[in-house]
Amino acid sequence: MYINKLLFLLFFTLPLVAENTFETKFNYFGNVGLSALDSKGYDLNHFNQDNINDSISLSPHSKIGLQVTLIKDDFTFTAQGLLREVHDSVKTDFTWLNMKYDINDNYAIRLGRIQTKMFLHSESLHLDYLHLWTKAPAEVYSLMPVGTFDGVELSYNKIIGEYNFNASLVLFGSYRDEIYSHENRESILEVKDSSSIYFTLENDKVLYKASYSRSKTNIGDDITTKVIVQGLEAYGNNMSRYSYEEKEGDIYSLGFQYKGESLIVDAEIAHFESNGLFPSSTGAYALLGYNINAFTPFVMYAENKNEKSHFDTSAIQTPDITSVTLKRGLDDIMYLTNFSQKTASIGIRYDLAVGLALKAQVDRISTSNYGDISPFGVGTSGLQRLGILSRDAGIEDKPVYAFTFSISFAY
Amino acid sequence: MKILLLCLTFTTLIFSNMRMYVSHNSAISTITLQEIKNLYLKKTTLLHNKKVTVYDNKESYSRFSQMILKKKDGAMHAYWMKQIFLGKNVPPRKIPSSHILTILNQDHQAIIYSDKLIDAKVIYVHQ
Repeated sequence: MYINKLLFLLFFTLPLVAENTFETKFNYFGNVGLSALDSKGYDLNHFNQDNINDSISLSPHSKIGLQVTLIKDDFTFTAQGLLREVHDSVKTDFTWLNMKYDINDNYAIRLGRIQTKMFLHSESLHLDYLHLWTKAPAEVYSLMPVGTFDGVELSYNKIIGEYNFNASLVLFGSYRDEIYSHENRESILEVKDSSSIYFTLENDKVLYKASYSRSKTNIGDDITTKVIVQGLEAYGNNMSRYSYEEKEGDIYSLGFQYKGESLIVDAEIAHFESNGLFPSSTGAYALLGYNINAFTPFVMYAENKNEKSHFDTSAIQTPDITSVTLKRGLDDIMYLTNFSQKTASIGIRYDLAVGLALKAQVDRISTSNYGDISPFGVGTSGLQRLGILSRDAGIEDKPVYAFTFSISFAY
Repeated sequence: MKILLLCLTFTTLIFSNMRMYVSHNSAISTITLQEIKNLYLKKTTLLHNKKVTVYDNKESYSRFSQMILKKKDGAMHAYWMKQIFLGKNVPPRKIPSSHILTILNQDHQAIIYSDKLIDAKVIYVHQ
């Protein structure tokens, strides 16, 4: 945090002190997106933007971003601010705020606020203009709930024939943000001691990517979870994994992209492993697009499977009626942590002008449930399911359609 | 009439070639197509282990991007938007044709393209 304050100060004072010696660039990007679900009683949740329900809404995918880049010799200062509406209030973030020093043609060091490179498009998730889709496949991209870190990045670049190889190492990453699991359920997510390594090999048409990241995450457990866990611990059970507090998580991912004259292919698989209440899970998606003049229709399929063993509480000892009741409460909590789902999408992008695109997408989302939830669980949570696609109490379990239309620009 | 047609054909041929130029005083004498691509997409700043500065030519930018970099205007814009917004790089400075000689005379490590003949050292011709 101290580093960021210093960078912030440097960023705005250096150009004044150094007068015209900096090459300065101002750029902006944005998205105006309309979205809605076809069914009542469902919410399509995102950790740090508004949820989508059956009312047509502008807020989940509308945003504006501004960036200032200052370049002087081998130093580059980047500040990018993002403004959007989240839960009836305007949210502003610095999505990039860093200083990069190119040590030589091969090595560079970056210090400050950096966006994660975990998945193929993690760094450009807010830049809707760069993507075919109107929204990234949550089955993979929600495995990493924060997109930004404060830390240090060391990178190595090497040209090998027509390929460009890059290896990046991010150390001492940390971040703190408000996240929303459902409607107005707000939590503070803290990520600490994050270390990541990324490898990419690309040429004009193909890109291969492999990433690994380990972080410590912390979300305060709610009072119900704490009471249940402490109650079952009193019966001699080891309950350490039934908590969101100070838990380690590992993410592995492999990605591939092909961008030919007309054909566009994106494919990615990622695995998340945790020793806490977050279910370990594997997510994957494949996108196929075909460019015909200014039109690019595409299809996409995404799937996320939480590990079933995560929901198995049969090893917990329940010698009496109190412990049985507590375990039933724990099963309800576990049931609500499940976010397994499948999405089949069809969409089209129309490039109206250089820097301006219209996009439309329809998603069919279906969920998988593990175990069941008791009437008491439904009564206290008001939900039949949580996850990325949540379902209110008493609502039928069926596939849901999401419609998104957006105008994206970047200049 | 035949001479006029011949002149027109000759002029068109000359003007359709994209040439890479450096100063007459520059030590650079050759460059490959791949090296041009790497420099103009800012994948490197080195040519023959020496730092160089590449410039875009305002009048020939679109033709150069399609002929040499094999990217249409939209793809080129998307490429630079990604580079800028990801804090990686900014595109080369764009200068008008009328400033080429001034730039080349000031900076012997400068490289620029043009589809017109100018009084500078040609290090690559793309037909």
